Amino acid sequence: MAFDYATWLRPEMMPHIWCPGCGIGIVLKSLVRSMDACGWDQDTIGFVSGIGCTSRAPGYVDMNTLHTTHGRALTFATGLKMAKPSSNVVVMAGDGDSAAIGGNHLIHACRRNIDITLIIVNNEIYGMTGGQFSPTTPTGSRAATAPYGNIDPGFDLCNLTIAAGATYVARGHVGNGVFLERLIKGALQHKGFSVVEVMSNCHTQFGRRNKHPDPSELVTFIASNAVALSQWNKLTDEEKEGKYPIGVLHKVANRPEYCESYHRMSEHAQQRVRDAARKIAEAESMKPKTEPAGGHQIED
Amino acid sequence: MSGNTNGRVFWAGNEIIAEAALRAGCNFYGGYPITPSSEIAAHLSLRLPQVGGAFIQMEDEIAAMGAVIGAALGGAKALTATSGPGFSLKQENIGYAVMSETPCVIVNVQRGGPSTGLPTAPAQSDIMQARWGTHGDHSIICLTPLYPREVYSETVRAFHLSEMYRTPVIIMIDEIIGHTTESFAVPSDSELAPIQPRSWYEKHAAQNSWRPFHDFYQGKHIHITGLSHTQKGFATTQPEVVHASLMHLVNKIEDDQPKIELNEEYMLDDAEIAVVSFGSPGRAARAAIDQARKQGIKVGSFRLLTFWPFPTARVRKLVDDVKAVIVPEMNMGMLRGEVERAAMRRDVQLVGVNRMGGVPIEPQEILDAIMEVKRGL
Amino acid sequence: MRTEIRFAGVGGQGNLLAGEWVALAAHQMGLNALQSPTYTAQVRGGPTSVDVLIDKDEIVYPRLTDLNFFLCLAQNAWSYFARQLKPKSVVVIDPNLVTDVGEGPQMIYSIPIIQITKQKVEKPVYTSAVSLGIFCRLIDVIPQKEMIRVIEENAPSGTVEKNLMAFHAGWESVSQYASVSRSELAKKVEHV
Repeated sequence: MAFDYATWLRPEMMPHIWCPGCGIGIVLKSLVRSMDACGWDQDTIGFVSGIGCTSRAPGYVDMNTLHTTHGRALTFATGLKMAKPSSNVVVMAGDGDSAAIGGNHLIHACRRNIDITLIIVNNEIYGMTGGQFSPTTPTGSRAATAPYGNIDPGFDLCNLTIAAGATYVARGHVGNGVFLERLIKGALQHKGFSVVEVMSNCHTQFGRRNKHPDPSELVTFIASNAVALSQWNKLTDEEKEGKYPIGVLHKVANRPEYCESYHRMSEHAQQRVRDAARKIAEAESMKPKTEPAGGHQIED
Repeated sequence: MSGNTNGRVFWAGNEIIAEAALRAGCNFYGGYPITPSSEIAAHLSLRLPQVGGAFIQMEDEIAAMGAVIGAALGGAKALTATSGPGFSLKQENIGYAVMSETPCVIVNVQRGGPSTGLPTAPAQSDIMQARWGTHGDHSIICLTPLYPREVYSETVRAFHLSEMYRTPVIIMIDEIIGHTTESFAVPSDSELAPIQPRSWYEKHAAQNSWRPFHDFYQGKHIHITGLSHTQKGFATTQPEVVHASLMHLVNKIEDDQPKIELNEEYMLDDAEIAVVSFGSPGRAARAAIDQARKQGIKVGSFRLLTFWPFPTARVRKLVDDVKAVIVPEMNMGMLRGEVERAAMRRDVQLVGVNRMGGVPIEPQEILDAIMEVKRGL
Repeated sequence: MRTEIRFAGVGGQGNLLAGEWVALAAHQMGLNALQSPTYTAQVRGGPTSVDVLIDKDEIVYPRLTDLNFFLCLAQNAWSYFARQLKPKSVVVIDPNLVTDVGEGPQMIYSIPIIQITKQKVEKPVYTSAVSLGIFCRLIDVIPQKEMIRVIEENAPSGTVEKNLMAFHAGWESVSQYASVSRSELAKKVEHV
C-alpha cells in the first residue's frame, strides 16, 4: 500500500519555503515514514526545531509542532519531554543551529541521555541567512563570510555527540532515503538521546560558491563521499580525506535515560516524605494522652 | 529555614517564592545557579520531586528559559528564577514566551549591575529591563512584592495572571527580600488569587490567546512559532494580520491594567507630600513617614505592587492631590521617570532619593528629603 | 521593644547559624523575628554578618538602625560591620581575633571565644553555640530555656550534647570577663 503522506502533512501550508532540489524534504519524508513505521500516534509527537531552513520543517507536518529560537530547540524539547515523559519528542536542526549557537545545548542533551531524537541536517553552510560558513563548513570552502576560503576547522558532529554521551549516533545522507529511513527509525526506537546526522545539499548557498551549483550533481557528490562503516576502518588516513562513514556509528544501552532517572529519584523523595509522615504519626500516638481537668474517663 | 507555629512560618523570601509557587500548582522548574536567586532552585530541587513535579538544572540561563517554555507547552505550570546577568541572557526566550503566549513565571532577584556588578547586594536597576528587555513591541506583567505575605500572595497571583493573560509574568524582588527570613502567616485560600488548572482558563481567558488556546498532546496538533503568526498559529507576513496580532499582545494587558493593578496606600488621605516607591525602599519609606507624621508633616506612601503595566492613571491622580513627590529607589531614577511621564508636565515637585552601591536606602535619608521638601513648600 | 542583634566574623565560623537560631527562637516564642545575612564577595574566609531584629510589634524597617548587641570574631569583620553602634550597645569581641576596636563610648566584653570553645568542647565548630550562650546571658530577650530548646531541636543529630556544653560554656564565661572601655582595651593590646 502506498504511504499516506496526506495524513502526516499539513497540505494547506504548501508550498514550502525550501529551494527546489533542497535535501531537507528528503529528510522530512524519511522522518515521517519512520514515525509511521514506529506506529506512533501523531498526537503523542512533539516535533521541535530552532531557526534556519531545517527549522521550518515542523510547520509542514501534522502533529504538535514547535518552532523555537535559534539554537535552543533542544532546551524547549527538554522541558517538553520532562513535562510529559510519555510523549515522543523529536528535534530537527541544521548544522549552524545545533553545533554553533546551540552547541552547548547539544552536548548537554547528549550528557543527560534524555530520550529525544535529534536529526541534524548538515549542509555545511548557513542557508537561510545567505551562505555564511558554519562549524561544519570544510576548511578551504568559500562562503559569504569566507571570501578567501574558510580557515576554520570543522566539527565531526558524530564524534562530538558520541564523546558527549549520546547513546545512539548514526549518519546518513540525502542520496539514499531508504537507508536514511532505517537509521532514523532506529533512532526513534532507541531509549535515550539519539542523533542522526544527515549530510545534505545546499546547492544555493554552498554549491554555488564551491563548484557544485546543480542540486542533483551535489547530491551525487555527497553520496560518492559516503563510506559504509564496515569499509571505513579499512581506509588509510589519506583515503579518508573528504569522505565520511555512514551507518549506526554508536549504540549503547549502558547509560540510564534521564526521565527514568528523574522518575526514580522522585519516587524515592516521595517515599521519604511518606516515611517521615509515618514516623511523626507514630511519635504522636506514643505521646501520653493528657485529659483536661474534670474530663471524663474513657469507659470500656 | 523551617519553623511553623500556628500558621506562622519563618521563611526567607526566596523560600517563600518556592513554596508559594508549589501552592499555585507549579510543577516544573528549570534554572541555572546564580546569586542571589539560587535558593529558589535549591528549595524546589528538594520539593518538586516530593510532589511529583519536575526540577531540572539546565546548562545555562538561556536553556533554563527554553525548558520552562517547553514544559509550559507540555501542560506544566512552569517557573524559573534568576538574577542580573541571567535575566539579560533570558531575554530572547522571554520574548518568545510573549510572542507564543506561553504562560510562565520568571523571578528576578535583583542585584547590582551592569554586568557582573554586585552579585551579593541589592539593587532595583532591572525594572526597565523587565518591561523592555526583550526586543519588539509587547506588553508585560511585572509584580514587585515587598513584605513576606505579599511575596507569597503575589507569587500565587503571578501564576494566575500568566494563565489569565497568556503571558510570561515577571516577579521582581531584590537581594534583601530574597535573603531576609521573617515571621509571617501564610495566607489562606480566600486571600489568594484563583488556583486553577489551565483548562479552567479556557473558559475565562480564551479571548486573551491569539493563537489556539491548547497545549501539546491535547489532540489539536497545534503549531507554535516565534514568527509573526495568524490566529491559527502559522507564520504570516501579511501586514494587517501582523499588526492586529501585535495590537492584541499589547492591548490584552494594557486594556486590563485596572484589573491587574495593585498598590499599597498609606496615610495619603491628607498628604501634601507622597513618597512613591516599589520594593525594598518601601519599608524605609514607611519608617520615615511614621517619624515625619510625629512631627506633624502630612506625608504618605504610595507603593506599587504591579510595576508593569504601570498604574499611570492612579499616579496622575496622586500627583494632582499632592504638592511634592519623593521617589526613593536603588537605581538612578527609573520609577521617577515613569512618575514624571504619568504626571504629564503637571506642576509638582519631583525629588529622587537614589542610592546604589549595594547598601539599602535608610529611613533617615528619606526623612531628610521629606524635611527638605517640606521647608520649600 | 525592638531589639537589634548582629553576629559578625568570617565565613565558616558559624555566625550565620547563631543568628538563625536566635531569630528562630524569637519566632517560635510568637515574637516577630527577622534575620538577614550580609554576604561579602566570598562566604568562606570573607567577612560576614547576620542581623537579627526582634519585636513584639510589626518590624517596619528591616535593617539595623540602633544596635543592641554586637558580637565580632574577626578584625576584617569589625572594619566592615562595627557600624550602627550606639553608646549603649553591648559589644563582645574575641581579643585573639579582634585587636583594633578604635575609639568609641561602648564598653566591650573581651572574651576569648574560640579558645573557650576549644578548651570546653574541643572543636571550633561549636563556636556559634558559645556565642549564643554569651548573647543569652547579656541580652534579655530570649530566655535560656527557649534558646536551649531551639538548639536541641535544630542541632544536627549527634551534636546536641556538645552544642549545649558550648552554650553553657558561653553563658558561664560572661561572669569571668567584665566589660572594659575601648581605651582600656587598647592599652591591653599595647602591653601584649
